[in-house]
Amino acid sequence: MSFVYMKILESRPERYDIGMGLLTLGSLTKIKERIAEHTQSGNKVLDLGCGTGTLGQMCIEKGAQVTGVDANSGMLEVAKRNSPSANYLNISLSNLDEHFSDESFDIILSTLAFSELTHAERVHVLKQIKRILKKEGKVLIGDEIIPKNLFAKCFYYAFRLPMRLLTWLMTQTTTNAIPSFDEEVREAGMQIVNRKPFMLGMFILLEIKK
Amino acid sequence: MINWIKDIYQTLFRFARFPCEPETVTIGNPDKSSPVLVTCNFDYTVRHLKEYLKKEALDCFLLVVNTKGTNVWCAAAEGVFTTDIVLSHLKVYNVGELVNHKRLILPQLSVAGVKRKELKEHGWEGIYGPVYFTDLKEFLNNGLTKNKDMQALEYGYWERFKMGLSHAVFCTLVCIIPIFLFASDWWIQGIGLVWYFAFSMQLIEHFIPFERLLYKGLALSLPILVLTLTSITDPVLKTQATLGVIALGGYIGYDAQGHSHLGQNQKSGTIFAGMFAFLALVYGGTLFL
Repeated sequence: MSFVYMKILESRPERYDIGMGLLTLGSLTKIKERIAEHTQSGNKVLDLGCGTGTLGQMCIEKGAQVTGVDANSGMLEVAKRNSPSANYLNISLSNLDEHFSDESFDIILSTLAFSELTHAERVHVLKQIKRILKKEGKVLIGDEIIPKNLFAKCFYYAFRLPMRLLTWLMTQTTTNAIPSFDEEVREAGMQIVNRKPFMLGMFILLEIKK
Repeated sequence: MINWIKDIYQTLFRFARFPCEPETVTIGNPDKSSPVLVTCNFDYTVRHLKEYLKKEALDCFLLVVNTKGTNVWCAAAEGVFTTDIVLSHLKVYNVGELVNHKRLILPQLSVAGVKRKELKEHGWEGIYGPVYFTDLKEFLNNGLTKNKDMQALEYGYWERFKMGLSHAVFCTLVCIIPIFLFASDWWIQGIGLVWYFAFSMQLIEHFIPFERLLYKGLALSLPILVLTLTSITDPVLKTQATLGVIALGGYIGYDAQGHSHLGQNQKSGTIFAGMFAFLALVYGGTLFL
């Protein structure tokens, strides 16, 4: 691999927030703010695919105790700077079973992490989430989906291609829209209780309960 | 798409990532005692490995783990082909239920990322297989033992050629704007030089008696400099062309460090930056002539 390109890749975590903010035209920040509104002082919060730790920090400011999980050690280095009081674990989301006991979190959050997983991985992670979530706890997932409405779908394909290219040039990463969350959530034995679309339905914030 | 077309563009744009779906593939008619092979989800590797396993009629399970489309060696070095990723795949796809043993055959070049000790802590035995999958049949038939040939990484001329091709495409994309900005009348020669340096850095660099790849790139600019100095008469143009040739040779030599772990440890960044600052300064001076 090109050495210069390799160095660009290594600096990816530093540029991640800017790139993703661009890709979502600012919706990601709104989604994170909405998610953080659900947290209360004393809540035990698990941030799955915590990335640079910005969402975790919003929850900490509300008084929550946050644990961030990410497979990318470079991202966690940035997260430790952005949100030093959170706890972090450098593991894949599929390996949650080894690290967390049953019903140990009030709120489990995730933004743009599920779209990096395959269908089988998403179902596996959702099953683990069900196990470690407290009985009255909630799951908040903000992610990219393919809109159902025909007009929105046309706009999605026209708009997403140049934006994905631009984002890839900035961050050397991108997201892959999830065709449908409903079936996967059902397969994991949970239910979607609330859904809030963003950007013509290209992004969605789901509230899921056991 | 026809496989050979995929082979061509995946070789040309090797620096990009070409992921295929992570999965557990059943090859032939495996039973509970069949071997479990592990590879990354770089499409090029997976297509050729599946083809080989089918051709050799090796009954086995093939785990295509999610390295985001990066090849085994690079993924292991970058930290995306790790024990954690393999363990994650074993869980998600219930691999333990497919076989009655706990043995995984890993690519030898995954050694930097996938650790046998960590696998053992989770109840799995990791065995590093041969460097090249074309030795898998012999390796499996010999009771999972490797001879010296199976452990050797060859960097032959065909591999060097493919690497040169990929590096030339990448460097062309990087250099095309500067070439048009600084030498628009000479863009064909400029791109020709990029390809000369990129291929030479692969095909003949081992004959150049310097350790640093940056210096090898500069050494490769010598014959071009002789040509430049003897064929251009205008002194300002001659100076600018000389600077351009040195800059291209230096950049491509420096960039070639990414092709091996030895190169990545050369720490030539300061020399490279100093050299470019000097070249820029002299170029700036020529603008006043």
